[in-house]
Amino acid sequence: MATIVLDGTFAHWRAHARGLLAGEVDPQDVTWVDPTREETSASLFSAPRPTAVAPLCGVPPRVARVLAATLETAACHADPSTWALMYRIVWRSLRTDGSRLDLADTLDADVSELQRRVKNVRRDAHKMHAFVRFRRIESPDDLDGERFVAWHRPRHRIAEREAGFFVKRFPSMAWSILTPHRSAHWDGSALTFTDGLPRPTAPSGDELEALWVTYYKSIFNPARLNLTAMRAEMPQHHWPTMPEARAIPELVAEVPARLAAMAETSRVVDGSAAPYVPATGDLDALSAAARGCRGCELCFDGTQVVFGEGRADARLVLLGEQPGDEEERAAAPFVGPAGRLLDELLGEVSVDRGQVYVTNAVKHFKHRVERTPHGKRRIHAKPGYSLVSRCQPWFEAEMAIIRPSVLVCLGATAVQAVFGPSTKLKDVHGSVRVSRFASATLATFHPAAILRARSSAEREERREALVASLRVAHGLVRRDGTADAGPA
Amino acid sequence: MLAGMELADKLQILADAAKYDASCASSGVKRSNGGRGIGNATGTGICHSYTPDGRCVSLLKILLTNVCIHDCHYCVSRVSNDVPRASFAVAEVVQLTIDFYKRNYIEGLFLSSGVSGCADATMDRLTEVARRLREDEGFCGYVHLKAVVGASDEAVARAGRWADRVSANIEMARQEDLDQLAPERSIAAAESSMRSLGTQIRAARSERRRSPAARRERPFAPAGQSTQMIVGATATPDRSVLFTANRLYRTHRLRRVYYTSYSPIQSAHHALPVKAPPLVREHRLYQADWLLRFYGFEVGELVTRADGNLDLDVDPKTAWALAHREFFPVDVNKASREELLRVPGLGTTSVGKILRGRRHRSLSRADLKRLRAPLTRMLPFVITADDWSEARDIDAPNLAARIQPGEQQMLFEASMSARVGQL
Repeated sequence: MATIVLDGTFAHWRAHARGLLAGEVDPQDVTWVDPTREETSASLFSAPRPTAVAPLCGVPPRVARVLAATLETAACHADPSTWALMYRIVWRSLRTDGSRLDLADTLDADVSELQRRVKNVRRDAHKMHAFVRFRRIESPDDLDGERFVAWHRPRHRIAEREAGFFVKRFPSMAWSILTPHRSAHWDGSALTFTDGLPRPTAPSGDELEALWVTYYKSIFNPARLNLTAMRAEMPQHHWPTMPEARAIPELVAEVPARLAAMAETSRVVDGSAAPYVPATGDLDALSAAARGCRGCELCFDGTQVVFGEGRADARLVLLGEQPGDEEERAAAPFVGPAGRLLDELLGEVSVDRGQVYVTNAVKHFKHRVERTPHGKRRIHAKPGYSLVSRCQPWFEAEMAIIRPSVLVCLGATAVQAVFGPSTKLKDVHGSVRVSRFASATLATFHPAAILRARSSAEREERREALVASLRVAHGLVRRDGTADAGPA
Repeated sequence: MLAGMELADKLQILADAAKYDASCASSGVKRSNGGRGIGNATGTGICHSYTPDGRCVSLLKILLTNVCIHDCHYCVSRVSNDVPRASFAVAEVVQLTIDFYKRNYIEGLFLSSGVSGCADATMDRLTEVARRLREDEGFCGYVHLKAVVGASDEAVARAGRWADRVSANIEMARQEDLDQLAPERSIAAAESSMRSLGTQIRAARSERRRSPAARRERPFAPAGQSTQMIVGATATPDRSVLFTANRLYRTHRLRRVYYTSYSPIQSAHHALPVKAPPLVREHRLYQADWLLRFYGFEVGELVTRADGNLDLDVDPKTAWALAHREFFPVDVNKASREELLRVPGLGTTSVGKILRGRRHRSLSRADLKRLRAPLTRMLPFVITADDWSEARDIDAPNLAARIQPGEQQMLFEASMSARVGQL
């Protein structure tokens, strides 16, 4: 009965195995001891010394190259019983009688076990390729004055075997991969190995890690939580060396709240105004129905609906963006500062507001609340196109009843409501066009744009443009012939 | 869009918007850097991380911009949605890719984009990112570019010069679905991109086979092309989805079709269902996809339900087996490869092991156990040398229930964690 103490390397095992095979030593008569892989190995001093390799007596048998490569991989396995398994396999593969092992017989107990261990090592290698995380440090003597250092904890003894992968991948970069059992270093031309190193010897952070974690968090889809799948592929064993893993508990804890938020916004938009618009009825009926609209989230703001105002037989319709603070309080369109200015300009071109229908693309007041020393103020917030499109059924219903001959879009939002989301005011400004709401459609500034002008020149320019458009509109209405004749 | 937005803010917005593209594969191409430059491609791809949704993170998957003129209802970046907008500069994406790659976070880049004006100009900006990575940075890692909606075949082809994979999303299985949810998209346009890409990929490949000079040049989209289909946003059944996929595999020789369950998004469009389809539907489609490609099944065999959908409770192969019990039991010691491939629980690898193993011995139940394949599911359908007691029950009415418990448990656990939000 021979007992062989190994130093943990494949070369050492191989040297002994050759001797034993040459001497025809049966696997049952050999005990392999590997102090470097015994979990309970006491201090280095009490561990037995590796057995010296005796000179060969006899001719060692040749082993197929494929088997040799498989054995070398299996030798990385952390389980020290692998050495005995390897010897048993080689021994059996060399029998010349009927008991000879065929390595292609993958359902043989030894071959199957060897393959399982090889698979474990390969998987561990694959996870090392994947989960090593480099941290950059300043290192004046290295390429570009920097070195990338990783601390990784493989399950098997693969640091030496897998260093080549990183050489191929990062040839022009200085790097070190530290593991508890062995460390690999590359300086751009030579690969060297040193002993294993404990974690504190590795750098503790990298400036890019915050960005990486941001990316990791953003790419996670809370609607598809599947922790079983994550743990199966990214064992918790590796989490401590992966910066992004720190975000996992937080991401998981946030899931119920994020799902609830998604359901909440999706519940609201499950509507759009369309289901709330009555199929028949006059403007008053529309206006009354609009108060019950749940087509977008603005209905939860506690503000009133401000519907359009004017005669059902108006030939001219003015379309604005959305009601403002004063309009919302009064529940009437264009009654605040911009409305007063509009009245003034309509007067200049001799249009009676009583003959005109005025309305807005969005019927609610979208705003944010600002705290000032004098209390809270409601500040106008521009409604995005999604709000415009969701509110659109109301405007369409208004137009279906009025059928104006002239429509004036006041400002960019009104232009989007009429000509679509990708049309800008400057694309259609000043010209008379056909739209699906009126045969003559104009686009011009919103009166609020005059109030917001940054210089008197700009103010004057916008005012003139708006007045000119209103004058054109008025002219078109008169040419249409029905405006002056009044309702028939 | 905010001026001077921080890189981290942009990354957050543009990664969040990109996550609805399912593909993250970095496989299908092998490339060495010849000892210079940075990175390589290993052929099989590497998943560098996994998020709690169980999906792998292999590539830096981002949009160049989420500003978009289109209004595809299922898309979070559609023009009518109120979401924060951001755009990366070409140089920022290049730097981020290199920085992440050097730290071994990723295998490469998967870049897509909203269309912020001219589609060809947008496509050319994606191509420019890839060109700079290759030419200026010596980057040899993986690059996947998405064909921008509306880009010309020529612009898409320019991308193939630098990218490993270029993909045009078909998005929906039928044109009717697109008309309803993405009026500006068409299946014909996506297939036109696929056809033109496919032609060039094949031409470049045969040129490389013929001439050594061509082999020294950069290969054209060596990892081929893939596409994505969204399922569950409309009532279209699995049968149509699989027929379309099958057609795309055959006509354009796609490497992969990705199926992605319609996932609820922030402020979803009102035309879309509020509830997501069960995730298991996507899983079943992938199983069926594999059966079509590697197991010799036909679409018509796999979809047996009257409503045209796959069964959610059992995997498609088991469903087929339960409906075709006359085919079983199969003798593992005598059956052909084709027959073995139809046994529930046996995959291509296990079948290979059986075929090799039975040359040496008559296979018994203990041998099957060593396959590490799901025994409970398999045993009722097979005869081994020593035992076929379970196969005697092949006609038992409760067979379906007996072979299923494992999977149900898994799904239950996943939905539990989703509800309580605990690890």
